[in-house]
Amino acid sequence: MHLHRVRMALPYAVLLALAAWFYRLAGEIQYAHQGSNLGPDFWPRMALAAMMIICALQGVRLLIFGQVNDESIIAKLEEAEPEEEAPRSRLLLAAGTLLTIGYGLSLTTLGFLTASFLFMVLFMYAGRYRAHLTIWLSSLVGAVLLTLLFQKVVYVSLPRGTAPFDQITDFLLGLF
Amino acid sequence: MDTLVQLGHGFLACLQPFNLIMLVGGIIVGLLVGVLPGLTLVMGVIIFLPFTYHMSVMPAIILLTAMYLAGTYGGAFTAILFRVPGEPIDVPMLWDGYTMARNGEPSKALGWTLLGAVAGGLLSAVVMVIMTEPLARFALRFSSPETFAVIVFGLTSVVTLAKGSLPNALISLCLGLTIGTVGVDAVYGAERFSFGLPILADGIDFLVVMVGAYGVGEVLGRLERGFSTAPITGAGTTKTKLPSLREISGIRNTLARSTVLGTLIGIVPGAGATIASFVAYGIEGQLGKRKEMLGTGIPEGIVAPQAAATGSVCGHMMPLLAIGIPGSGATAVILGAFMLHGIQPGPQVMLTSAPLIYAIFASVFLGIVVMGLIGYFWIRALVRILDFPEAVVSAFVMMFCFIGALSIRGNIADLWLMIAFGVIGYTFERLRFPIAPMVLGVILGPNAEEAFMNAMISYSNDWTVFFTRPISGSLMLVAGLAILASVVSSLRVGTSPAAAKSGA
Repeated sequence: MHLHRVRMALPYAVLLALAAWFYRLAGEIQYAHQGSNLGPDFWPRMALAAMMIICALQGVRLLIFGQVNDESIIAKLEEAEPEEEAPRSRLLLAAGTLLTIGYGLSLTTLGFLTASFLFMVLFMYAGRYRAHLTIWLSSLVGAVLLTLLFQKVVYVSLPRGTAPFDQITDFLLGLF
Repeated sequence: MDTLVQLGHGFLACLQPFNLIMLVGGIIVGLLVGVLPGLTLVMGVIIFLPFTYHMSVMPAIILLTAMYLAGTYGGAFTAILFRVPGEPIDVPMLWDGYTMARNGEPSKALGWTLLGAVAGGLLSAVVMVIMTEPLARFALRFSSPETFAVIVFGLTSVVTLAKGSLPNALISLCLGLTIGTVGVDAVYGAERFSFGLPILADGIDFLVVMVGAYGVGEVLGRLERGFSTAPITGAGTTKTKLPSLREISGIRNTLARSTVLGTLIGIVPGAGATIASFVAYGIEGQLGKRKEMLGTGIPEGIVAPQAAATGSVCGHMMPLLAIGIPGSGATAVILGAFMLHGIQPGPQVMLTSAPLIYAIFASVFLGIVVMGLIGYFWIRALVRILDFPEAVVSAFVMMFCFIGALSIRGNIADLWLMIAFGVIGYTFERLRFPIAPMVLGVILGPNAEEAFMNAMISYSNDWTVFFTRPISGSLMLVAGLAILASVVSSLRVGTSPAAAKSGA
């Protein structure tokens, strides 16, 4: 079997496996049966069964026929004027993803203000921007303004952080 | 007459200071979002949703609707001036708009765009006001089979009109429907797929899915390409020159035809402004008086897509307000704003909260006028935002996404869910699975399940009820035909012989 065809069919195999697993889980949903009425497992199982069938059909189709050109007309229209796109960089993608995950991990400890400032600085550097003054200044001003805007004006509760970072947040909020 | 009186009250409500500030602010932000190539219209509306949490419902909806409206116009600036479409809807602008600019008439091209947006928007707003209430009254006749059939029709439209292949769109939809079942079901109170986690027992909020998939996923995709959009220069001399009355009279048929098309296309769920824009341009190429000159920089090639795109906004608002079915990603966010304020749009709200609905109608009229004024006088200031490096803008977009997730339930678990959906959204884009069906599956899936289960309980598991009742049967038939047409079209295109030969 051609490796390229297997690679193309792989996403469908993964989705098929996931759907099968959730289908099995749906069968274990606990509920009080009510006569002949459909249970809470019916709807998710219907969606998952449809997903499994389509994944299986599409996977088999790709394995047998290879590339299938069935893009919708909308996709073709939107690509009528394709941009000249830069090559993809897995390193940049990994950096962005790790930064995002790191933000989530550090948010409770650093607090929204500090974590956001650091995230924006690192994200702009990861995005290959190198105007250092703009990066640091815009990140600082941005983090401060967003904290004030959402905590003081919009009244959204954002993490203060733990000591000593909570003191930075409290100091800023105490100014206004 | 009652409609006019109610609309008058709506205008008075819009002119209250805070509502007016939200309207003007929404128009400005919407234009900026439209201008920025790295920020889509839906993303823009999503990231501003947290601002509305502590507002009352009227200014919240006015703000988001104004953003939506202006975003369909703002992207034309960069398409015409720099050959960079701010939104996918502006791609047809390149063919005649940019050509007209290159022929030495950029100001005129901008003037035609302004005319298309304002005239098309106002005409379609009139249709919206006239048709929404009758549509809502018709929807009052719906019981659970009809409600289910309408949602199926809406989801089918999204699937058949989505980017990517039909199988991929269906898979995306099924995934969205499954995600929508996470939590406690409405009929039995049984926990589904919660894995013992309290945050999942409360369900997955569709805003988390939207912010993650559209926001984080999109930014990660652009970061992967190193934010390669080159800075755009030369915006300092930009201005708009309006066409003369005689010139406008010459394209009145194009304007009327495109506006009607855009409005009708907008009514179909899933048929967004992009489709309206392309279809209107295509129809102009078939029926226009100067169709053989299309693509050489003629006004018809600018007015047709722009009028249809802006007109589709009112088309999208009609099923949202009358039936509670969002017609596009942006109206799905507006639906979210309604629900955050405890209002489920639909026929009951249309008839019992008429002041709110007519205030929204009035805000659309006012918003179009304000949009035209700001676009005419402030275009130089608006395109200056292109001086901002994409890396800086994207960092702020990510921050708005994080805030959006944190502000939904005040729980950091939503941030993690958003990041997960961001990765899913990015992966889907890479694998050419459309995101829109997944998102609408999450939004409408619970409603569809509830209508389905209620129908099954009411009609003793007789599934034929969906096909034997006239309204639901008609809608299910149309939905079935749409899927069949897509399947036939897909099979006809089929395998690429060259690819098969090469062993790919």
